[in-house]
Amino acid sequence: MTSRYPFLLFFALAIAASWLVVVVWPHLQLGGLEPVTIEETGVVYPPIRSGEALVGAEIYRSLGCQYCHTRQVRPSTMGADIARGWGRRRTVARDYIRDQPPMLGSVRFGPDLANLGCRETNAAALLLRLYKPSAIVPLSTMPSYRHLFHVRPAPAGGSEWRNSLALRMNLSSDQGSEVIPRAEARALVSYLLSLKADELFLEAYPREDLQTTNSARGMDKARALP
Amino acid sequence: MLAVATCWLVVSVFAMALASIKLNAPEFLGTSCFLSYGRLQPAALNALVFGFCVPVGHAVAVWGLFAGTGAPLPRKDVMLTSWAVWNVGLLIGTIGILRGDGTGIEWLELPGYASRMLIVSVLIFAVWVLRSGWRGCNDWNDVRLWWCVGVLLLFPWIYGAALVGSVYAQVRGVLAAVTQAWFVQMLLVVWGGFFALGVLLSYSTGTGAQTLVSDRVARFAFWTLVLFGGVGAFQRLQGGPFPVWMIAVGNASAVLCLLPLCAVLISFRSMFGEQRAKGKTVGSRGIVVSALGFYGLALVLAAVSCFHSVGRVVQFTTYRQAIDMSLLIGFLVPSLLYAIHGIMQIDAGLRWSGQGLQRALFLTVAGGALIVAGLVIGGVVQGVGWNDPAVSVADVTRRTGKWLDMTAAGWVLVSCGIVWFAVQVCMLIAGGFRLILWPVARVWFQADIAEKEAGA
Repeated sequence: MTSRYPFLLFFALAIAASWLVVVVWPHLQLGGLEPVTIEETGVVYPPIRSGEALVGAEIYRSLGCQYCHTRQVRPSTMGADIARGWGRRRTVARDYIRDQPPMLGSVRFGPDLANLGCRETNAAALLLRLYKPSAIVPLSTMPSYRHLFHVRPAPAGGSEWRNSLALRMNLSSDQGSEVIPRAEARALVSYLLSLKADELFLEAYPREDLQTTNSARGMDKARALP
Repeated sequence: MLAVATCWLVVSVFAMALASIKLNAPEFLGTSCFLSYGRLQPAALNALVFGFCVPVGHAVAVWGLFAGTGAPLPRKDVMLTSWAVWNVGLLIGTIGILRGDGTGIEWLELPGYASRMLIVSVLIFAVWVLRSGWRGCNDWNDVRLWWCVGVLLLFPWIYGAALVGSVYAQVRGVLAAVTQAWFVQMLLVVWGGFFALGVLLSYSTGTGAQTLVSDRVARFAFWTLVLFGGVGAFQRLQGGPFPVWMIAVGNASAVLCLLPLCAVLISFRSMFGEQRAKGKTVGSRGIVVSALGFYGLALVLAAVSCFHSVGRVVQFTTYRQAIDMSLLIGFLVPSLLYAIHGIMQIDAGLRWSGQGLQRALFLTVAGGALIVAGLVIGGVVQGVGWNDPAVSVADVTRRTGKWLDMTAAGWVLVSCGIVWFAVQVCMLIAGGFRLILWPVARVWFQADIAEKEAGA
């Protein structure tokens, strides 16, 4: 290779080969995924998130939550995610087709959040966790997101914010004050509560469940025969 | 250019040290959202990669291309414009990440308004390289020229493709993560490999003075690195919501990446042997060996994690960060420092303080070793904890904490080494000023005084 052109050609081909295999080929396979209708319930999955949850996704991205929390559940053969209760099945590509960016996360310094909305339904508990994580888990290394809350002296006649969710805490540092979540905190919690990847459909069935389902269907068919 | 890049390096390494402390002690220096781990870590990483590694990599490759061939540098103004746009864009982008405007895609967090400036800069640079940058290069048999050209042409291609795929015309769902994985893998393993191996080859034997012992082995390393290095990106997606074939291909490529590693080691070994036989000294052998050691360690760690029993423990732990940091802090940064040392010494005609440089590099390498060790052991401890449902989340965090402290200590050491290096650069620049600019200024002052006296 004594001239620059053969070198350029081979170099471009080699880089293009890796780009085609790593970027284009998966796009051909996964780029056309569409939401699926669950036959039993008629629910379209994954659902469209509410406006507040979409704002919450932006807050989630802006705070960099994905640097400590993943949103991907591994199959039971690859880890104890399902045994820990982080999901009842592994997550699949279709779970994320409405997420831009998907914010999968790559390291777990805290629990996986793919199904947080399934295991935590109390918004106040999540707000408290955001305001003062150590109040729920002592020595927690999660940072406090106090800037998402208003803290003000509690009025004598009770909170004026009757339509807002005021946190009532028995914390020595916050006694005599009321903590009112800002719109950003409520949006973030709304997003966290919307994190659910538990619907079962073709590619998402756990292998053992699929076998059980298939054998049950087979038995049903056998029973139906005269 | 190199002085500005060194400033980015100092700032980014300090920010990385702070982020690693904040990871375990979130209340450290207050709870401001600007200094939270989720913003500080990506801002620091982007500053390190795009503020130091990429510009210095390009500067060194351009220097190698021209100084190596003796050709004059054409259209310097175009290159300098590209460099200025790049740095302004990066500054705006880093502030943007701290403000919370990051894209949320790891390693590509620079907000769209800033990364557009970087893309413009990259395009100007790529056009400059293609139109004039290598006109004087005729000896395409020299494989070191390939490494230089590889560095210059690869980055615009991978950065542009990654930004288009994951930020501007974002592909759907998990495909953005695939594009991001490809970019990081290409940047660290292939681009970083081209650059650092080229530098270590050139400077350890004296610039332009040696030919490689075996061109065939070096060529084999080059092409296998291009082919398998990028496809190994799939391995980063292990355990994620991706088809099995992707993970299998990634694992196979990660193992095949050991081939270029072997070729590189053979090449260096025989080169060192030949140097010794000729009675020549090998320049900064310790740095070369440690940098190669980190490169080998990263590729071996990646290959080991392909095994199912290992993979299920280390997925989603700091083990993956250990591989990346081994490549970035253990391999790439010392090689870049070494290259800066080589260029400034030759261009300015000044001598570095030998001990000062060695201490700075030693602190950086020792810090890198602590970082990687902390992340590897911490990753295994973390993975074992996550895989045991009986262990609570708090316990996993507590067990991992001490290893993350070790990593934080490593970052502090690296910071000390980098500050030391920056002081050396400042002294060298000051020395250059004294030697080159001061005589000119003195003549000017003397002429001015003589004029005034004549007037009086």
